[in-house]
Amino acid sequence: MNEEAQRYIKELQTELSDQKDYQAIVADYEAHIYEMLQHEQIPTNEVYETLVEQLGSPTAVAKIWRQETGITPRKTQWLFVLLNFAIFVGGTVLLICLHLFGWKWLIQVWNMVANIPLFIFGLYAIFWSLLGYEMGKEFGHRGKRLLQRTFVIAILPNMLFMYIILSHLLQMKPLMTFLLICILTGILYPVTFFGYYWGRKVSV
Amino acid sequence: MFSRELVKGSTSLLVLQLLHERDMYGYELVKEIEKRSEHHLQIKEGSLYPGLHKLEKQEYIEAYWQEQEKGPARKYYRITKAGEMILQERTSEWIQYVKVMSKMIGKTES
Repeated sequence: MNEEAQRYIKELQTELSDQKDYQAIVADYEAHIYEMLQHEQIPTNEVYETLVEQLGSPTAVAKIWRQETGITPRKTQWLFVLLNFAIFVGGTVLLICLHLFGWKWLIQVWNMVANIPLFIFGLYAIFWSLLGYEMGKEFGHRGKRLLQRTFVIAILPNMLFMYIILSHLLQMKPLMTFLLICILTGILYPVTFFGYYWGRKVSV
Repeated sequence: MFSRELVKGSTSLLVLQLLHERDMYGYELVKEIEKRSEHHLQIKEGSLYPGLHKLEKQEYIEAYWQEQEKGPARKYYRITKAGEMILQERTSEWIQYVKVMSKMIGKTES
């Protein structure tokens, strides 16, 4: 490979050095450049300019890679698990404060929330459909398994929270509580998969 | 030449279509797209590999290396079953879209 091509690869290597698999990425470009030089009549002194023109500058290529590798299945999964956990913690803190301090404004907030359970559930369903959509859009076919895993991990604290609310505060019978939780979770599952199929449609 | 955004949005579909026909390596994919589109579609070659990486991450394609008699080994890509399925879905959607658009634009012109 000529000097100008080596220069391009070296610059690309430097720009991509923050990437985990940068050697594998550079190997792809090296192979591509090799093919270009074999099949196209490029004057030796114009190789670097031609590579920049056809492939993009090393900085531009690295930027595209950063966008692509920035979203990983693990990061996305934990982002949603943590968001869901934040909802769980928020609800728990609200309940504890309500019982420990009995602040007037908090009682008003609680009463307001308790009066619009369907609206709250609707918001929560939107959260789950968004989760499905993102998984489908970003990870396509693979997103389905990831979504199932995320659903199981994320739903557990919420089921516990629902159990506490329904059985202790609203004093519902254990069987009734269990059935209601199953129904609510059962509604969320298709909602999140509807989001997934919608997202998968735009994955390509 | 078409707008960059239009080409960008359909590159993955074109790649899947080509891989549906046979396994190809990166350079071959670019040249094949150019050739078949009579040079109307020119993708920025540097962005092809992140695109292929995304399709691999989505499990629509998979890669394998093949040694060459001359020169370095080539990284070939092949379509998976899930890739075939999404290709079929998206292709019929595109055909439908083009049909409707042609009808609409044709009407406007006449």
